[in-house]
Amino acid sequence: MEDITPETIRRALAGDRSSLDHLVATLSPAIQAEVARSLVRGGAVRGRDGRQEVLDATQEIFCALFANEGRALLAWDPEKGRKLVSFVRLIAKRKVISMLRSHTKSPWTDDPTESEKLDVIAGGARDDLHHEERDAVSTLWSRLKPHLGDRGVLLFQLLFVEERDVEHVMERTQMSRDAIYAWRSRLRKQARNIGQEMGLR
Amino acid sequence: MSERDDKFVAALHGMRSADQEAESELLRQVAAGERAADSFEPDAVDEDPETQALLLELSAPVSGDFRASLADRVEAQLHAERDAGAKTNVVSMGAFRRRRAGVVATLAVAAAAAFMVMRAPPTDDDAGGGDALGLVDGAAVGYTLEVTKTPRSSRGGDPEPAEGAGSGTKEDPVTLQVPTSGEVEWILRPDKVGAAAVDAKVFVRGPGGGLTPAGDEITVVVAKTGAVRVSLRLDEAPYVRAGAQVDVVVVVGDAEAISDIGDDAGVEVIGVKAPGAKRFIRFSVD
Repeated sequence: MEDITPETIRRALAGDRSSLDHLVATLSPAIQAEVARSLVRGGAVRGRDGRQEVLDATQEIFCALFANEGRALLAWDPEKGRKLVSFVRLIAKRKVISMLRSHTKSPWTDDPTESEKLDVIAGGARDDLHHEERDAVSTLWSRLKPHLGDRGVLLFQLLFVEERDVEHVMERTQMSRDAIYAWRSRLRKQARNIGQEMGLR
Repeated sequence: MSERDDKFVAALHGMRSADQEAESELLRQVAAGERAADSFEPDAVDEDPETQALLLELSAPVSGDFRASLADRVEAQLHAERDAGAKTNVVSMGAFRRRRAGVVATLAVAAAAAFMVMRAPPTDDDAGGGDALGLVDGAAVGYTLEVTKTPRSSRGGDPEPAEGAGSGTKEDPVTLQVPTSGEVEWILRPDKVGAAAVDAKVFVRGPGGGLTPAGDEITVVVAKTGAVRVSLRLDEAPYVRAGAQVDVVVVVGDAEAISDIGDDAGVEVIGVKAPGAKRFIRFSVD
């Protein structure tokens, strides 16, 4: 199956059914998975009945992508470095969070193609922190830090802030490779656990 | 917060994003059928076994029918947006109600691709009368119906299908048990791509018995392929009351003829007499 390009999107928007089917086949699993993950992480799904909710939200978000003559999809620019699936996944995640916050199942309650948001997403701003997210992660850091100790903070800095390779960290800390791997896993797990305690998605 | 802390926060955000992206990608592979749900490293998805099982279950691949209906829905939406200026394919039921046609003869044209839902027993469906109205063969275009969206029943669990409902691939009506709020959506798909349907109009037989044009609680969108999406917002429908049984009649066909369908006797004629009509949509309210 050919990769999706902006031209594929334009053909689908112009009414070409095979291009549309291609988009459905490619994007709907990504949306479904992101919806499932976000709903579960948001505590919105606890039982087996969640399947229908996931499929409903998947449909709504998929349609939201095509709303306003596909404005959201047309905002995707592969030149900016983000793959379409990742782009759509980010939109889906934000829509689900918006749905959870507004206590509604409909992603249409706010404009899914708000230009400002799309600019951020389309710009590949993976590391750009929104204010709310920054506050939440700042709180997470303040809670995580006391658990790390001096060695943990140093390893966090080397591995995740400076993104040093393991050999460099081995040399700096005089630790074994296995020990560094174990620390890296432990740091991730601690961050994840505290994030879950805080209800972060 | 110090500059150093800022860097840690940014790194923490990056770590979380990478973890989320990795988990989402694994779940996407499951949803796409590219990977079996039991082929993960144990900690690749959430470590809590219960959460992990739930994530995998919710990400299980969907049916081809679901994807087809998704494409139909999007197509109808695009089509409606494209033609919004011409006001032909997005059917505003409020506008329909304001139109008074009264030319029964044109109903015959509209009924060329008509299908319907009846509250009455099946014997009423093909009650004849088509010849008297000069109706053409409505069976020329067949339709199947799929329920694509149902609200959760207030009695718990999913809405209860009845009479073999659910797929709409049979000629029997699709009957649902629904609560008094939420949204129900059906897609009526012609057996011929690009079938004649260019417009649609919906009528409702509520507890009072009479057929009346649907109000703004029902949205109808017709795709270029002839597929028709009917969405009903239950909490906005005055006839959706506890214990009620409601039938929905959808008439599709030539836009001009459809728009001429009147609110009065003509509706009854279509509802009862259209040849080849099939009973499709019925729901009972909790």
